[in-house]
Amino acid sequence: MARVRFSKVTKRYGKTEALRELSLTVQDGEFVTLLGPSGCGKTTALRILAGLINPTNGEVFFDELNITSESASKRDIGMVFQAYSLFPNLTARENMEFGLQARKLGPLEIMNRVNQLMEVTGLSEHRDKYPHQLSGGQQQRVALVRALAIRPRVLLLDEPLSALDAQVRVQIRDEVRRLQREFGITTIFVTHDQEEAMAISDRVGVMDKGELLQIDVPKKLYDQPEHPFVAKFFGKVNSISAQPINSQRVRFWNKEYQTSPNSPRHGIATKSWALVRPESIVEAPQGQGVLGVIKEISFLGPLTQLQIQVGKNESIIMTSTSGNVSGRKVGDNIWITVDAEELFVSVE
Amino acid sequence: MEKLKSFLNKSLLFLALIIGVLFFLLPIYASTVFALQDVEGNYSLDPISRAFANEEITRSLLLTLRISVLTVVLTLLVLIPTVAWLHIVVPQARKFVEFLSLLPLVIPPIVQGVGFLYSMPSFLKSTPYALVFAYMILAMPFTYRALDAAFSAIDTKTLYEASLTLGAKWRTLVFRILIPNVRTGIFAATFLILALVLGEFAYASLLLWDTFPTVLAVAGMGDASAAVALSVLSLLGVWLALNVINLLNKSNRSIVNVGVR
Repeated sequence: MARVRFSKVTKRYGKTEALRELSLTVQDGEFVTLLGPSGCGKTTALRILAGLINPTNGEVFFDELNITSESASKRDIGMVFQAYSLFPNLTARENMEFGLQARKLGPLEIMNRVNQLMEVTGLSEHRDKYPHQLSGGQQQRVALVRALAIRPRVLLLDEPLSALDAQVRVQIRDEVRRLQREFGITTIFVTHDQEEAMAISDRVGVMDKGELLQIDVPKKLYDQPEHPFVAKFFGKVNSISAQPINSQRVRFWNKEYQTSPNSPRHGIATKSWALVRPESIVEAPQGQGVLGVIKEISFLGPLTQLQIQVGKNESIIMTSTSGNVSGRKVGDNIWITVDAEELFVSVE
Repeated sequence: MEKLKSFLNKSLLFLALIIGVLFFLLPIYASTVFALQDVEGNYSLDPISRAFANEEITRSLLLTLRISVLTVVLTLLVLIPTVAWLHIVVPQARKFVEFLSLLPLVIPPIVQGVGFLYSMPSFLKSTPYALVFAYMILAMPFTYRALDAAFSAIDTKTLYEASLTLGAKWRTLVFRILIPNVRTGIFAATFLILALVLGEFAYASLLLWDTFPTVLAVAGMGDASAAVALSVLSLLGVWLALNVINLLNKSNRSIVNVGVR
């Protein structure tokens, strides 16, 4: 296992900057997710770490060892790819043994390691099947075991769940986390699915346009975003037009709110938006807050999501426990307000 | 009405099939009859014995087989790494290389032959094995496409990266992963080269080398039935080779399934 450190890593393709001065440390045994939309640079960072592409500038370290110019085959990493990457001419077992044979381990050692992993992942009954005889989920499990069998210093997961259906996705996600904890492997996971990132990670780094905008534990990212993009990408959020009172307070819906210290500075004339989570929108007593009209009701089990039109063209999403809004129907008027101590305010 | 339509459709298909089969089989049948029947209408294998008794024919056949094998080996040695490299490193260049590989189909053989004669190094001009290089180029439109299709059927780049991250060396990647997974393409390319070299006349004739097809053409002037008998036999030989290749390929087809992704 190893501590991973990116030091001002940049990758350019011609004039396009795929990754800009990425500096990040992942502690030994930690599970870090790089989250962002397509083209944000998360996969580029992972592939630089794997040695599959070279950075334009900057360095990569495993503990104190500079591995920037080390070839991928010597980095001692395990990687699971987005595309099914099992060797089609080898059985599941042969696939799992591949990396160990490349390391010239003895047959007994190879058998023991693979058997142990097959047992903990429930793959024993599929050992003699070829990849095309396995489902997508089983193929990704075999790929995960293949990566873990070599006992890598770092495990890299490049959107390995994106091709799977929702149920299998959750199963394998949990399995990845369980195995990662069991083996204590430093893991970097790349995804564009914020729910997946929240569920599985010790820390999540949100990236956009080649930059790491914020990295923190999921709860802090959700509650205290430091960047409008982070607030919008990490969980649902309402952008509500707000009137700045001074540099620390804004007013909307007939009430004043404190601005969070992470918000960009805003003056009285700045066009501002308060970013409010759907669960912070609550029903207000009649005549207080703002009046809206329910446009859509979506039942989500324990929660219900209401889409409310405020004024002429402001659409607000509110989530509430299903019991609280069970009597509501589309077209009803509803008074709403924001239940929060302070709000993240973005400016134009 | 529907039934009549379906009957007509089926009949048309059947007719097309019959015409197709006749188109291929009739000339072979006619050649066989012409080769093995004497003037009194009796059949005998004498023309075949006469053909094999002709030393020039057997020598040219052996030379052509050696040229075929060398062409297969050299083509695969050059093309497998090239196509793999194109898929892994510069996939954007594939279209351009495919266009280049088609040039031998558009340039007339006489132009290619003369160009080849002028451009080849002098030490090659004195040996019939110079034809190997000419045939490599001539077969390129077929061999490149066969191999390119095989590499496209697997996710070559991901397999390469997976083996690299698992610590495998190039040799392991090529012999344990790439070659077994593009076997179908290798077999197809091999067969196409064999078929092409065993029947190629223009180059050999232009470069004045006595290969099987050129000797056969000359022999046909003196002993037509022996020459035609040999043509039919060579056709059978190519057909047999195709079946052997198919059989070898089938043994691995269940494993190398195209549905990798």
